[in-house]
Amino acid sequence: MTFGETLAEAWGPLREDAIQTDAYLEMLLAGATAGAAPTGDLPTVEGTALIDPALVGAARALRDALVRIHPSFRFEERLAGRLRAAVDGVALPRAAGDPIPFRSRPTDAAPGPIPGDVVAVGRLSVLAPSLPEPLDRLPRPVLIGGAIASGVSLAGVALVAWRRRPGRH
Amino acid sequence: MPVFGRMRRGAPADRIAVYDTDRAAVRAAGRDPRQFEALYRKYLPQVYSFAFYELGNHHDAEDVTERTFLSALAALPRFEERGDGPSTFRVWLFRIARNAISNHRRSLARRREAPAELADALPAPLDPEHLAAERESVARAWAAVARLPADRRRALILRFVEEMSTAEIARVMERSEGAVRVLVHRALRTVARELGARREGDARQRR
Repeated sequence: MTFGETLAEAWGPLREDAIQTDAYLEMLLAGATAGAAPTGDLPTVEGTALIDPALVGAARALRDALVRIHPSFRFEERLAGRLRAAVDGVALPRAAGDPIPFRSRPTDAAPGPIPGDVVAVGRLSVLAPSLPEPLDRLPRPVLIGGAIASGVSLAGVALVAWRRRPGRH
Repeated sequence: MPVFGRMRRGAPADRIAVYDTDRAAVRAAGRDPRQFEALYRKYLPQVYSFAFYELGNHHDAEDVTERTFLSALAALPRFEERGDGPSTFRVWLFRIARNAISNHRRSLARRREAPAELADALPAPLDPEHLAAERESVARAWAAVARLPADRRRALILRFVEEMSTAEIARVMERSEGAVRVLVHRALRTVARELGARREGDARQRR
Protein backbone atom coordinates (compact mmCIF):
# COMPACT_ATOMS: atom_id res chain seq x y z
CA MET A 1 0.00 0.00 0.00
CA THR A 2 1.38 3.40 -1.00
CA PHE A 3 1.66 6.32 1.38
CA GLY A 4 -1.14 8.06 -0.46
CA GLU A 5 -3.46 5.07 -0.08
CA THR A 6 -2.62 4.78 3.61
CA LEU A 7 -3.36 8.45 4.06
CA ALA A 8 -6.65 8.17 2.16
CA GLU A 9 -7.65 5.19 4.26
CA ALA A 10 -6.84 7.03 7.48
CA TRP A 11 -8.59 10.22 6.39
CA GLY A 12 -11.61 8.58 4.82
CA PRO A 13 -13.61 7.91 7.99
CA LEU A 14 -12.57 11.26 9.48
CA ARG A 15 -13.78 13.06 6.37
CA GLU A 16 -17.06 11.19 6.47
CA ASP A 17 -17.52 12.04 10.14
CA ALA A 18 -16.67 15.66 9.39
CA ILE A 19 -19.29 15.78 6.63
CA GLN A 20 -21.91 14.30 8.96
CA THR A 21 -21.00 16.83 11.66
CA ASP A 22 -21.16 19.65 9.12
CA ALA A 23 -24.65 18.62 8.03
CA TYR A 24 -25.77 18.41 11.63
CA LEU A 25 -24.37 21.86 12.45
CA GLU A 26 -26.09 23.30 9.39
CA MET A 27 -29.39 22.00 10.69
CA LEU A 28 -28.72 22.99 14.29
CA LEU A 29 -27.73 26.57 13.46
CA ALA A 30 -30.51 26.97 10.92
CA GLY A 31 -32.92 25.95 13.67
CA ALA A 32 -31.39 28.46 16.04
CA THR A 33 -31.69 31.20 13.42
CA ALA A 34 -35.31 30.29 12.77
CA GLY A 35 -36.02 30.66 16.49
CA ALA A 36 -36.27 27.01 17.44
CA ALA A 37 -36.51 26.22 21.12
CA PRO A 38 -32.94 26.25 22.45
CA THR A 39 -33.20 22.99 24.31
CA GLY A 40 -36.04 21.28 22.48
CA ASP A 41 -35.75 18.22 20.29
CA LEU A 42 -34.42 19.05 16.88
CA PRO A 43 -35.61 17.45 13.68
CA THR A 44 -33.39 14.66 12.47
CA VAL A 45 -31.59 14.66 9.16
CA GLU A 46 -30.25 11.69 7.32
CA GLY A 47 -27.16 10.43 9.08
CA THR A 48 -27.58 12.53 12.23
CA ALA A 49 -28.13 9.38 14.23
CA LEU A 50 -24.59 8.35 13.31
CA ILE A 51 -23.10 11.33 15.14
CA ASP A 52 -21.55 10.72 18.51
CA PRO A 53 -24.04 11.98 21.16
CA ALA A 54 -21.13 13.71 22.92
CA LEU A 55 -20.59 15.80 19.77
CA VAL A 56 -24.28 16.64 19.63
CA GLY A 57 -24.15 17.74 23.27
CA ALA A 58 -21.05 19.86 22.66
CA ALA A 59 -22.60 21.45 19.58
CA ARG A 60 -25.73 22.38 21.52
CA ALA A 61 -23.65 23.76 24.39
CA LEU A 62 -21.64 25.89 21.96
CA ARG A 63 -24.77 27.10 20.18
CA ASP A 64 -26.05 28.41 23.52
CA ALA A 65 -22.70 29.72 24.78
CA LEU A 66 -21.15 31.34 21.73
CA VAL A 67 -23.38 34.35 21.38
CA ARG A 68 -22.59 37.50 19.47
CA ILE A 69 -21.12 40.25 21.62
CA HIS A 70 -21.95 43.87 20.85
CA PRO A 71 -19.46 46.64 21.41
CA SER A 72 -20.39 49.58 23.59
CA PHE A 73 -22.50 52.32 22.08
CA ARG A 74 -19.77 54.81 22.87
CA PHE A 75 -17.22 52.80 20.91
CA GLU A 76 -19.62 52.38 17.98
CA GLU A 77 -20.22 56.10 17.72
CA ARG A 78 -16.58 57.01 18.23
CA LEU A 79 -15.49 54.72 15.41
CA ALA A 80 -18.31 55.97 13.21
CA GLY A 81 -16.92 59.47 13.76
CA ARG A 82 -13.42 58.33 12.87
CA LEU A 83 -14.66 56.76 9.65
CA ARG A 84 -16.58 59.91 8.73
CA ALA A 85 -13.51 62.00 9.43
CA ALA A 86 -11.39 59.60 7.36
CA VAL A 87 -13.77 60.00 4.44
CA ASP A 88 -13.61 63.77 4.80
CA GLY A 89 -9.82 63.64 5.09
CA VAL A 90 -9.81 65.30 8.48
CA ALA A 91 -7.16 64.79 11.15
CA LEU A 92 -8.70 62.48 13.73
CA PRO A 93 -8.85 63.04 17.49
CA ARG A 94 -6.81 60.53 19.41
CA ALA A 95 -6.12 62.15 22.74
CA ALA A 96 -7.03 65.16 24.88
CA GLY A 97 -5.71 68.30 23.29
CA ASP A 98 -5.99 67.02 19.71
CA PRO A 99 -8.21 68.98 17.36
CA ILE A 100 -11.64 67.39 17.01
CA PRO A 101 -14.18 67.86 14.25
CA PHE A 102 -16.99 70.20 15.11
CA ARG A 103 -20.11 70.80 13.07
CA SER A 104 -21.74 74.19 12.95
CA ARG A 105 -25.25 74.19 14.41
CA PRO A 106 -28.08 75.21 12.11
CA THR A 107 -29.43 78.60 13.15
CA ASP A 108 -32.95 77.27 13.76
CA ALA A 109 -31.79 74.26 15.75
CA ALA A 110 -32.98 73.65 19.28
CA PRO A 111 -30.47 73.85 22.12
CA GLY A 112 -28.50 70.70 22.84
CA PRO A 113 -26.12 68.64 20.73
CA ILE A 114 -27.04 68.00 17.13
CA PRO A 115 -26.35 64.55 15.73
CA GLY A 116 -22.71 64.21 14.85
CA ASP A 117 -21.61 66.99 17.20
CA VAL A 118 -18.68 66.33 19.40
CA VAL A 119 -19.80 66.69 22.99
CA ALA A 120 -17.44 67.00 25.90
CA VAL A 121 -18.40 64.65 28.72
CA GLY A 122 -16.01 65.12 31.59
CA ARG A 123 -12.60 64.36 30.17
CA LEU A 124 -14.07 62.39 27.29
CA SER A 125 -15.20 63.58 23.92
CA VAL A 126 -17.98 61.57 22.34
CA LEU A 127 -20.15 61.95 19.30
CA ALA A 128 -23.76 62.76 19.90
CA PRO A 129 -25.90 59.67 19.26
CA SER A 130 -27.74 59.07 16.00
CA LEU A 131 -26.41 59.77 12.58
CA PRO A 132 -25.96 63.19 11.10
CA GLU A 133 -27.97 63.90 7.99
CA PRO A 134 -25.67 65.21 5.28
CA LEU A 135 -21.99 64.81 5.90
CA ASP A 136 -20.91 67.45 3.46
CA ARG A 137 -20.40 70.31 5.88
CA LEU A 138 -16.76 70.90 6.63
CA PRO A 139 -15.88 70.17 10.21
CA ARG A 140 -14.43 73.00 12.26
CA PRO A 141 -11.61 71.99 14.57
CA VAL A 142 -11.83 72.80 18.25
CA LEU A 143 -8.92 72.38 20.59
CA ILE A 144 -10.30 71.20 23.91
CA GLY A 145 -6.92 71.14 25.65
CA GLY A 146 -6.18 74.62 24.25
CA ALA A 147 -9.49 75.96 25.50
CA ILE A 148 -8.69 74.74 29.00
CA ALA A 149 -5.24 76.33 28.82
CA SER A 150 -6.80 79.61 27.64
CA GLY A 151 -9.21 79.52 30.56
CA VAL A 152 -6.39 79.03 33.03
CA SER A 153 -4.44 81.93 31.43
CA LEU A 154 -7.46 84.24 31.67
CA ALA A 155 -7.92 83.30 35.32
CA GLY A 156 -4.23 84.09 35.94
CA VAL A 157 -4.54 87.51 34.28
CA ALA A 158 -7.65 88.26 36.33
CA LEU A 159 -5.87 87.28 39.55
CA VAL A 160 -2.88 89.52 38.79
CA ALA A 161 -5.22 92.41 37.90
CA TRP A 162 -7.17 91.90 41.12
CA ARG A 163 -3.95 91.92 43.20
CA ARG A 164 -2.71 95.09 41.48
CA ARG A 165 -6.05 96.83 41.69
CA PRO A 166 -5.92 100.50 42.82
CA GLY A 167 -6.39 100.96 46.54
CA ARG A 168 -4.93 97.58 47.57
CA HIS A 169 -2.18 98.04 50.26
CA MET B 1 -3.30 59.13 8.69
CA PRO B 2 -4.13 58.46 5.08
CA VAL B 3 -6.66 60.58 3.31
CA PHE B 4 -9.41 58.55 1.72
CA GLY B 5 -10.13 59.77 -1.74
CA ARG B 6 -13.25 59.25 -3.84
CA MET B 7 -13.41 55.97 -5.69
CA ARG B 8 -13.72 55.62 -9.42
CA ARG B 9 -17.40 55.48 -10.25
CA GLY B 10 -18.65 51.93 -10.51
CA ALA B 11 -15.34 50.27 -11.34
CA PRO B 12 -14.88 47.60 -8.65
CA ALA B 13 -18.50 47.21 -7.66
CA ASP B 14 -19.44 46.06 -11.15
CA ARG B 15 -17.63 42.79 -10.56
CA ILE B 16 -19.58 41.83 -7.43
CA ALA B 17 -21.58 38.63 -7.88
CA VAL B 18 -25.35 38.72 -7.66
CA TYR B 19 -25.45 36.53 -4.56
CA ASP B 20 -23.66 39.09 -2.42
CA THR B 21 -26.49 40.55 -0.36
CA ASP B 22 -24.33 43.62 0.22
CA ARG B 23 -24.01 44.34 -3.47
CA ALA B 24 -26.18 47.46 -3.40
CA ALA B 25 -24.48 48.82 -0.29
CA VAL B 26 -21.01 48.16 -1.70
CA ARG B 27 -21.99 49.84 -4.96
CA ALA B 28 -23.29 52.84 -3.02
CA ALA B 29 -20.07 53.04 -1.04
CA GLY B 30 -18.17 52.75 -4.29
CA ARG B 31 -19.95 55.85 -5.59
CA ASP B 32 -19.75 57.73 -2.31
CA PRO B 33 -17.46 56.53 0.53
CA ARG B 34 -19.81 58.16 3.06
CA GLN B 35 -22.26 55.36 2.30
CA PHE B 36 -19.74 52.96 3.83
CA GLU B 37 -21.46 53.76 7.11
CA ALA B 38 -24.32 51.37 6.27
CA LEU B 39 -21.87 48.48 5.89
CA TYR B 40 -20.11 49.57 9.06
CA ARG B 41 -23.33 49.55 11.09
CA LYS B 42 -24.30 46.15 9.71
CA TYR B 43 -21.00 44.40 10.32
CA LEU B 44 -19.68 46.12 13.44
CA PRO B 45 -21.13 43.56 15.90
CA GLN B 46 -19.92 40.66 13.77
CA VAL B 47 -16.37 41.92 13.43
CA TYR B 48 -16.27 42.98 17.07
CA SER B 49 -17.51 39.57 18.25
CA PHE B 50 -14.97 37.79 16.08
CA ALA B 51 -12.16 39.92 17.51
CA PHE B 52 -13.43 39.55 21.06
CA TYR B 53 -13.57 35.77 20.92
CA GLU B 54 -10.16 35.67 19.28
CA LEU B 55 -8.40 38.06 21.64
CA GLY B 56 -10.40 37.58 24.83
CA ASN B 57 -10.84 41.17 25.97
CA HIS B 58 -12.78 44.28 24.99
CA HIS B 59 -9.81 46.62 24.70
CA ASP B 60 -7.98 44.51 22.11
CA ALA B 61 -11.25 43.76 20.32
CA GLU B 62 -11.92 47.50 19.96
CA ASP B 63 -8.41 48.10 18.60
CA VAL B 64 -8.74 45.35 16.01
CA THR B 65 -12.27 46.38 15.04
CA GLU B 66 -11.15 49.94 14.47
CA ARG B 67 -8.22 48.86 12.33
CA THR B 68 -10.40 46.49 10.35
CA PHE B 69 -12.96 49.09 9.37
CA LEU B 70 -10.42 51.81 8.64
CA SER B 71 -8.50 49.35 6.44
CA ALA B 72 -11.70 48.19 4.74
CA LEU B 73 -12.68 51.77 3.99
CA ALA B 74 -9.27 52.49 2.53
CA ALA B 75 -9.21 49.25 0.51
CA LEU B 76 -12.80 49.29 -0.71
CA PRO B 77 -11.81 50.50 -4.20
CA ARG B 78 -9.74 47.32 -4.53
CA PHE B 79 -12.53 44.99 -3.42
CA GLU B 80 -13.55 42.70 -6.21
CA GLU B 81 -15.48 39.52 -6.70
CA ARG B 82 -13.18 36.72 -7.77
CA GLY B 83 -15.86 34.30 -8.88
CA ASP B 84 -14.28 31.15 -7.41
CA GLY B 85 -16.43 30.81 -4.33
CA PRO B 86 -18.37 32.98 -1.94
CA SER B 87 -16.06 35.97 -2.14
CA THR B 88 -18.62 38.35 -0.75
CA PHE B 89 -18.05 41.63 1.05
CA ARG B 90 -18.48 39.79 4.36
CA VAL B 91 -15.78 37.26 3.51
CA TRP B 92 -13.49 40.05 2.34
CA LEU B 93 -14.10 42.03 5.55
CA PHE B 94 -13.43 39.01 7.75
CA ARG B 95 -10.18 38.35 5.95
CA ILE B 96 -9.12 41.89 6.80
CA ALA B 97 -10.19 41.26 10.40
CA ARG B 98 -8.28 37.98 10.48
CA ASN B 99 -5.10 39.77 9.33
CA ALA B 100 -5.67 42.58 11.84
CA ILE B 101 -6.00 40.00 14.62
CA SER B 102 -2.78 38.27 13.53
CA ASN B 103 -0.93 41.59 13.45
CA HIS B 104 -2.34 42.54 16.84
CA ARG B 105 -1.23 39.23 18.33
CA ARG B 106 2.24 39.75 16.97
CA SER B 107 2.37 43.20 18.52
CA LEU B 108 1.46 41.91 21.96
CA ALA B 109 4.44 41.31 24.17
CA ARG B 110 2.98 38.06 25.45
CA ARG B 111 -0.01 35.99 24.51
CA ARG B 112 -2.83 36.54 26.95
CA GLU B 113 -4.97 33.72 28.19
CA ALA B 114 -8.51 34.31 27.00
CA PRO B 115 -10.74 32.59 29.56
CA ALA B 116 -10.51 35.12 32.40
CA GLU B 117 -12.13 38.07 30.68
CA LEU B 118 -14.34 35.94 28.48
CA ALA B 119 -15.88 34.59 31.65
CA ASP B 120 -16.18 38.10 33.10
CA ALA B 121 -18.15 39.19 30.06
CA LEU B 122 -20.94 36.77 30.79
CA PRO B 123 -24.14 38.47 31.89
CA ALA B 124 -24.94 38.22 35.57
CA PRO B 125 -27.80 35.83 36.26
CA LEU B 126 -31.11 37.46 37.09
CA ASP B 127 -32.22 34.50 39.14
CA PRO B 128 -29.05 33.20 40.76
CA GLU B 129 -30.49 29.87 41.90
CA HIS B 130 -32.00 28.99 38.57
CA LEU B 131 -29.39 30.45 36.25
CA ALA B 132 -26.17 29.77 38.10
CA ALA B 133 -25.86 26.30 36.57
CA GLU B 134 -26.52 27.69 33.10
CA ARG B 135 -23.92 30.39 33.58
CA GLU B 136 -21.49 27.76 34.77
CA SER B 137 -22.01 25.60 31.69
CA VAL B 138 -21.61 28.61 29.38
CA ALA B 139 -18.38 29.56 31.17
CA ARG B 140 -17.11 26.00 30.73
CA ALA B 141 -17.93 26.01 27.05
CA TRP B 142 -16.11 29.33 26.61
CA ALA B 143 -13.11 28.06 28.52
CA ALA B 144 -13.01 24.91 26.39
CA VAL B 145 -13.13 26.99 23.21
CA ALA B 146 -10.43 29.34 24.50
CA ARG B 147 -8.09 26.41 25.05
CA LEU B 148 -8.37 25.14 21.47
CA PRO B 149 -5.52 25.62 19.01
CA ALA B 150 -5.94 28.91 17.15
CA ASP B 151 -7.15 27.51 13.81
CA ARG B 152 -9.74 25.21 15.39
CA ARG B 153 -11.01 27.99 17.64
CA ARG B 154 -11.29 30.37 14.71
CA ALA B 155 -13.25 27.83 12.67
CA LEU B 156 -15.66 27.24 15.56
CA ILE B 157 -16.18 30.96 16.18
CA LEU B 158 -16.92 31.62 12.52
CA ARG B 159 -19.32 28.66 12.47
CA PHE B 160 -21.20 29.28 15.72
CA VAL B 161 -20.94 33.02 16.39
CA GLU B 162 -20.93 34.34 12.84
CA GLU B 163 -23.01 31.45 11.49
CA MET B 164 -20.90 31.27 8.37
CA SER B 165 -21.21 28.39 5.96
CA THR B 166 -18.31 26.01 5.50
CA ALA B 167 -17.63 27.60 2.12
CA GLU B 168 -17.43 31.08 3.66
CA ILE B 169 -15.14 29.91 6.46
CA ALA B 170 -12.91 28.26 3.88
CA ARG B 171 -12.60 31.57 2.06
CA VAL B 172 -11.89 33.53 5.24
CA MET B 173 -9.30 31.03 6.47
CA GLU B 174 -7.87 30.33 3.03
CA ARG B 175 -8.35 26.58 3.42
CA SER B 176 -10.29 24.00 1.45
CA GLU B 177 -13.86 23.27 2.48
CA GLY B 178 -12.85 19.72 3.39
CA ALA B 179 -10.09 21.02 5.66
CA VAL B 180 -12.56 23.36 7.39
CA ARG B 181 -15.03 20.51 7.98
CA VAL B 182 -12.26 18.46 9.57
CA LEU B 183 -11.12 21.45 11.67
CA VAL B 184 -14.64 22.04 13.00
CA HIS B 185 -15.20 18.34 13.61
CA ARG B 186 -11.96 17.98 15.54
CA ALA B 187 -12.61 21.17 17.51
CA LEU B 188 -16.04 19.90 18.46
CA ARG B 189 -14.61 16.57 19.50
CA THR B 190 -12.05 18.31 21.74
CA VAL B 191 -14.74 20.49 23.33
CA ALA B 192 -16.98 17.43 23.85
CA ARG B 193 -14.14 15.55 25.50
CA GLU B 194 -13.36 18.48 27.78
CA LEU B 195 -16.98 19.10 28.75
CA GLY B 196 -17.45 15.38 29.38
CA ALA B 197 -14.33 15.19 31.53
CA ARG B 198 -15.51 18.14 33.59
CA ARG B 199 -18.92 16.61 34.09
CA GLU B 200 -17.29 13.39 35.28
CA GLY B 201 -15.02 15.37 37.62
CA ASP B 202 -18.01 17.21 39.09
CA ALA B 203 -19.90 13.95 39.58
CA ARG B 204 -16.91 12.43 41.39
CA GLN B 205 -16.70 15.51 43.66
CA ARG B 206 -20.39 15.28 44.51
CA ARG B 207 -19.95 11.61 45.46
